[in-house]
Amino acid sequence: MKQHLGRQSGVQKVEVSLLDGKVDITPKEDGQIEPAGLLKATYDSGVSVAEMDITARGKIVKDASGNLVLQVAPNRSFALVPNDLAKALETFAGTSTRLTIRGQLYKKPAGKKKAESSPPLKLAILEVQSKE
Amino acid sequence: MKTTKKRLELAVVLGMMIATGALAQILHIAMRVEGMT
Repeated sequence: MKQHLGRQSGVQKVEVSLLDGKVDITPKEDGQIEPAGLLKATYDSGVSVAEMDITARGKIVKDASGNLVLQVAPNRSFALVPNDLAKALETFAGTSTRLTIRGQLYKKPAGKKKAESSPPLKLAILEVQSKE
Repeated sequence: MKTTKKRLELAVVLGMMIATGALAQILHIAMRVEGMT
C-alpha cells in the first residue's frame, strides 16, 4: 500500500503504522495531490479505508447553488457538510480570509465492506485551526 | 543593495505562487485503514 500511495502524484511522504492502521500522507508542495485518487489507490492495494481526514487551507466561498465550499486552489474545492462548524463559517464566504481547517473527507458507510461507487467527497469540518 | 533586490524578487515570486495557488494548500492527509497485514 505504501508503494501504491507513494506513486500517486503530489505525494511526498507516506508513513504507515501497522499497529493501529494509521496512514499519514505528506503532500508535495506542487498541490497536485488528489484525495479521491488516494482512496482508490488504497482500495487497489487490497486495503479498506475506514476514514480519511485532511488538513487544508483555503477560502470559504459559495457555489452556484449557494452551498459552502472550501476553495483550496483556483481549480480545486471541497463541498462542506452543512454542520454547525460550517454554518459558523458562513460569515467568511466571499471574503479573503484564509482558514486552516481539519475535516473528515471520507468515512466508510456503516455495515458495508466497501464503498459502492465513488460519490463526491464532502468535507465535514472537525476543527478550525487558524484564520488569517 | 544587491541582497535587498534579490529578497524583493523572491518575495514577489512567493506572492505570485500564493496568489495562483501554486503552493500546497492540502497540508496533511490521515487515513485509518482496515485489513492491513
